[in-house]
Amino acid sequence: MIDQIIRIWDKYSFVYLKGLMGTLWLSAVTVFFATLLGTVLAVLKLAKFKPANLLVDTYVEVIRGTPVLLQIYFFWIFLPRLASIELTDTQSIIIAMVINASAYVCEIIRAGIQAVDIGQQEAGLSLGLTEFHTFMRIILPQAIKNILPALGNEFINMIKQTSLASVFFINELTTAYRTVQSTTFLSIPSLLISGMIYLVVTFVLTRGLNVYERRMKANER
Amino acid sequence: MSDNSSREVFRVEDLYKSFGRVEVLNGLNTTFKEGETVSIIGPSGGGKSTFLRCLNLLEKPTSGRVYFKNEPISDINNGKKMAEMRQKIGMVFQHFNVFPHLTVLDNITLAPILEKKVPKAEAEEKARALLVRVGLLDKIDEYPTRLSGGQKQRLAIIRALAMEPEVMLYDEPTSALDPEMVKEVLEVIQDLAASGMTTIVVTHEMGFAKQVSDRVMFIDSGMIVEEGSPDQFFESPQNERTRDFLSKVL
Repeated sequence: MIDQIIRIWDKYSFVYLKGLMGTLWLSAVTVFFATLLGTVLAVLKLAKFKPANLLVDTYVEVIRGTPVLLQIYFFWIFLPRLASIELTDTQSIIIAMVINASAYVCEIIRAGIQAVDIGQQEAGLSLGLTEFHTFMRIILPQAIKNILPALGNEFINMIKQTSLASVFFINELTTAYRTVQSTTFLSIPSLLISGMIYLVVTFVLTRGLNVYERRMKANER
Repeated sequence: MSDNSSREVFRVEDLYKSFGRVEVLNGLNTTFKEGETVSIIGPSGGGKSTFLRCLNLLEKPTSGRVYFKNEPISDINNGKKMAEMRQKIGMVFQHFNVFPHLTVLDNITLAPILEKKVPKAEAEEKARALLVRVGLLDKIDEYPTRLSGGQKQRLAIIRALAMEPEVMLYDEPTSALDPEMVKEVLEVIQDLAASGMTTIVVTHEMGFAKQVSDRVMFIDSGMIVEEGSPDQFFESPQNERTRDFLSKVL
């Protein structure tokens, strides 16, 4: 088995590396836009405006209550028909993944802000800070400490989720496995290589997150 | 306007407050005079804290009016105006509510620098003087997680003082403290009151209420049941409910 893995790697490493690049690129785009959209949603959710709250609630409920693969199919079929513009497979899948992840990001940000003790807000207001200053200088800095670790985990989830793009044969790591498998017919070794690359990527990111978290906590002492 | 009313800090007229169907305050009328120290006592859930929080608009009264220095404040809706008004009213909470992400120094200087545009050096100078006053100068660069409960509450008090308020409100300032730390906090409150600061304190410390206050107010079921000088209040309470309450706590 090990020598099979080595032989596959010798011959097809470029396929995997290209797949890795695809995965990283898909993840980066998804993470960036999902965070942006999720933040906007969280702001709407926390705004004192009932219709906006309701809209976000519904959005989050529907997105989190249905499978991501179903959403990908939905957007892949639905979006090109709805918008008369032509969308590539990659574009419709990125849109689906961004929309999916934004619902989770929204919830992480909302929960992180609401987890800050209400007494902090009252203390800020009672000192005569404006609501805006109370939020920016008192609530948000504390909320970020709640938000970042959870957001980091969500980023790692997004990276793994990009493997769903292989359904449409978009260049990424799981598609790389499918390519190599169909040429070599060596399913297990070619799958293991993809798996190990995912593992290395998520391991590095998890370690990085842990270091970051520890440094944030050290600040408080 | 009479001389007397110009020295009022707060005047409260027919104050009602309900949360949904629960009526917490049922028509309070009273005034607080400049330099006065008033202790508010009464059973839990009687409306003491809600009353105090209506004075700086952390709670908005359902009806009735609150005047601060003869200016009606209870219908202020403008956020900026509300903030300006609160700058003149210091408040200290049961659970301290110090800012855990800021050093002791930044806890004190944040609001003066941000809202009163006090120059940083000046704000820090003042913070140092305040820290000396409550014996916390050696903690200036620490984060509040390193402080004991009593130290946190003393920090909360001078954080409020840094805004140079005209009145201080204390909401059960010693209820969350270990017994051995109660004294150090009460001493600070007492010193401040003695220096002329108008002080309104919701408390369960009967000894403090007796010794330090000019007036004791007993609130139950959202009403001022009885008020008077400490001597009169503790020695010969007039109301049945007051007598009943005092017999339980003394």
